[in-house]
Amino acid sequence: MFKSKGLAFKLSFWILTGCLLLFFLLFWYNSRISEKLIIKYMRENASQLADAVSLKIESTLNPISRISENLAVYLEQSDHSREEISSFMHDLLVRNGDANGLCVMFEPGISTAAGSGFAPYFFRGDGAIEYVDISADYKTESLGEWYQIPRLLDKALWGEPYFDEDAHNQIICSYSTPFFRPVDGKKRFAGIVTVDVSLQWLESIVSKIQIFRSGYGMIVTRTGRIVTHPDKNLIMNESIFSLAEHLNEPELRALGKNMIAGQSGFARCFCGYLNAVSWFYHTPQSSTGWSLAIVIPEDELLADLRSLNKILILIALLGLITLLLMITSISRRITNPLCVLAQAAETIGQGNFNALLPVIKGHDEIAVCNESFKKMQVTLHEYIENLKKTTAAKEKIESDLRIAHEIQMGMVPKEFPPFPDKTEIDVFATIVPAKEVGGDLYDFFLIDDNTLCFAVGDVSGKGVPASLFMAVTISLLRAKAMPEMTASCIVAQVNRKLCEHNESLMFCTFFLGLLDLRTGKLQCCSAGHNPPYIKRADGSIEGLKFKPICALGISQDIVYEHHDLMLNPGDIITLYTDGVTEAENIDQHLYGEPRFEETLKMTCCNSAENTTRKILSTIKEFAGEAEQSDDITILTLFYTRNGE
Amino acid sequence: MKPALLFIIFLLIYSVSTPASAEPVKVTFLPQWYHQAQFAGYYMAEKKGIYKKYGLEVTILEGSPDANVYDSLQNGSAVFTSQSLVSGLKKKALGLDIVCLSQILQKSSLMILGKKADGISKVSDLSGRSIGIWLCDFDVLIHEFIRKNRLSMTYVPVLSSVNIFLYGGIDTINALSYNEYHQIINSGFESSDLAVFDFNEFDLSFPEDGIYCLKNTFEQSREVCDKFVKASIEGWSCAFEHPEQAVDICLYYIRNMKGARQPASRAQETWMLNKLKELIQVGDVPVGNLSEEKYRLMGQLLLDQKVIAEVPLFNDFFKGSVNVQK
Repeated sequence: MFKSKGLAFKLSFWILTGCLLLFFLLFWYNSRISEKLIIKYMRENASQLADAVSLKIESTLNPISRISENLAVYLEQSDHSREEISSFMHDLLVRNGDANGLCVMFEPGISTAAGSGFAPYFFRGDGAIEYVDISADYKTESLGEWYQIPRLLDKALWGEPYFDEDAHNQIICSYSTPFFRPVDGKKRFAGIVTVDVSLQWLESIVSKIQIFRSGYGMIVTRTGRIVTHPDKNLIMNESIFSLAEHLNEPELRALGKNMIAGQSGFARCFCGYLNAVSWFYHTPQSSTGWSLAIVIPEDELLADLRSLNKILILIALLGLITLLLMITSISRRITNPLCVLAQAAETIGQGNFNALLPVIKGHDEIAVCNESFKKMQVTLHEYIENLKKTTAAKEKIESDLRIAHEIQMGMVPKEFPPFPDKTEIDVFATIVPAKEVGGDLYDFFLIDDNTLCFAVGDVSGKGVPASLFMAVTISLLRAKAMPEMTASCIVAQVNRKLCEHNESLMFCTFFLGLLDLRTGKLQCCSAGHNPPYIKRADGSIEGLKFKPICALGISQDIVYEHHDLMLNPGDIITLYTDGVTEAENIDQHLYGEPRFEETLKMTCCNSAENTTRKILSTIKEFAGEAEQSDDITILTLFYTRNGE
Repeated sequence: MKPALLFIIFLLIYSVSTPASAEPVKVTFLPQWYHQAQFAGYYMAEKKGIYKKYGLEVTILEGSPDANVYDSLQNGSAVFTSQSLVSGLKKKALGLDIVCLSQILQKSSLMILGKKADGISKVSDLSGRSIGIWLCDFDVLIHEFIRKNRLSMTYVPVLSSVNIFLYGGIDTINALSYNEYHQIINSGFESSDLAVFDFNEFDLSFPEDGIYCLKNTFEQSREVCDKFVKASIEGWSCAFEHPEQAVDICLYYIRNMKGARQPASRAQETWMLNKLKELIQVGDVPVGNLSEEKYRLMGQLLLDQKVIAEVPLFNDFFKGSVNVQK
């Protein structure tokens, strides 16, 4: 993906990506932990606040509920007359300013001193305590839940709040206490005492709850009905469940169920009033069984954290931009010299060693690299200069060697047939040089009209010394070979001369033959040379393996021996150097004498040249792709005596 | 063609072709209960100008459990009223000269609710339990349910509140599917927590609310009666087509009540309107029609329970066949 991009881009991309990832992780972790801590502390605060509000509510409701209980006890203790009951109720209401009304309703069929059709109700009218007997409404009133529920449950309790038409539609809540009378020795339900209280004071307590800008408190009853709320339209009209249904918020419904189940908790729900996700802390009210909820909008709860987060993001962005600029600057500082270096390298590669390199201050890696490059430039320059000189020298040497080789080759006879008028013999010789100038030699010449002198030699070593030694050997042979001399004598004289001033201790294997053209008598002398082969006219092969004698140039005192043998018409004698038998193929196997003998057997040519070429072709075929390591020299003499 | 039919056709053509007179006819309508979506069709007809379109100026009065709709009809404070079939039939049989102009609710919304947590899940579980029962004409249906299912239950007379059930004062309570059932759901009960005995599933599916007036009113102002019924049914159609507007108008009526304040909850009124649609638009049953068979069954039930001595003639009771809308 980024293969074609520069180092600066790659460096910036990966470092910034890494930093961004690191920042994101830190930001996320910090944000989560901070949020949890804030919510935890908020819950504690809300809990303390709710406890304080609950205490206030309880401290107001408990004395009111005790009015009803005291009145019930009063009615249970003895059978009072209407006047006594009325007077007691009136006094109770006068003494307890928080109560709005007080009522006693006897169960039908209960015999009392007050008589039937007595249901006193004292309530606070406009500035005074008023009285009404509600016994006329008994049928309806006795079906009311304020009467029915405590009667059926057989216990005192706070009922559900209701709008009181007679009290300007105030929200009223009643605490109803059943009272009992002994009838036939048994405790029997005798009626209900109820005390009414307006919930205006409750609203004023709860409305004081304010958390952040728009957090608020609310109270729901045991059935989930809302009795205090900053939105007056919700009070008594909605329950927390109807709101949940209207808003389609199952979480709010679940919260409501926990609230009416009397549980405490801290839950996250959508609040329709605030039109925001909010946190609801709820706690039950022990006396009424209602639930107080403190609602805290999440946005406001986490506002500081979110502001902090915004600042952090801003700082991070600025940091990243700064980092980007720094990375770009540094990477350019790195890459610019590298680019110049690369250009210089290219220029140098094109042969311009004087290309200018950048000047880099300091001792960092780039500066070191630049210095190294400068040294390399100088060294390379020197090396190339040396190479030029060496090459020139080498070229000169090679030229000299080529000339030497040409001279060397010029010293051996190359005209064939050499003696057109001598039909007794057919001579052919060749040197196939290796890459380097070698020291192989061959020669043949007539010492007199009937005697052919022929020789093959191989000087030790390579190069010019070997070439010179070979030239000297040929010159000496030509100088020393005189009529009537034996082969061994000629070899001994050549040896003696070669040994003189041979300070470099070179030597030469040598084979010399003197053939009497008339008779076919062959006198030959070998100085450590490879034994030649004679292929007789009948096809048999004969190797001339004499007693080994030291090569020429080693010692003046060597006594050489010659051997006489006869060549018959049709016989072929083949002289060669070790370049033939030691020719290697690519598997480094030697051509070898057995293969050479076999080759000679297979040749059926009657010409020296053809025989020689046949041998060369088999050697070439054997060597294949292998490089020739030594000169190959072959001299073939085909004796016919009278040109037969 | 019979002369009566010709007369009806004439009336129909007349009522449609005659433009609304400059002076609309002033009539009053008294629902049998507090303002709520149970009467949404009438509110819509009034607020959306449907009554006006028919040349009527309708004043919708404030009903309550204490309001005696028959007294109101007789003393002239109300011209039209809404009442359940069982109540209307009972009053007619007891000598009140009223007629049913249109049968709006075709099915029963009555049900008995219990708590599964109390071990109530089937009808037989109701035996030995207490039941909160309204002291209104629906009680005959409750008694019939208990009789048919051979149950033994303790009756606890209750007013309209369900709190006595919610607080655990009674084991079961009678309820209407469009009202009390939903109040209980919105007091923290899940529908799965409740054992519901729907009267439609117990061969007690009787039509409920209809439009009533005095026989004299019908005979003397037949045209006005027809217009009121048609406009009211149109009002119901309009309410079902525009439920949100209908609920808004219901809430407006509830919040502006002059008498006792009643809870005004959008969720509750929306539920009520949706349920009423199911009770009014029942399959292929024409809106406004009263099934004679249901009428006779209801009459027989009242006879069996000795609530009435004789079933009034169907044609004397129901005068709404000309206004039935398919």
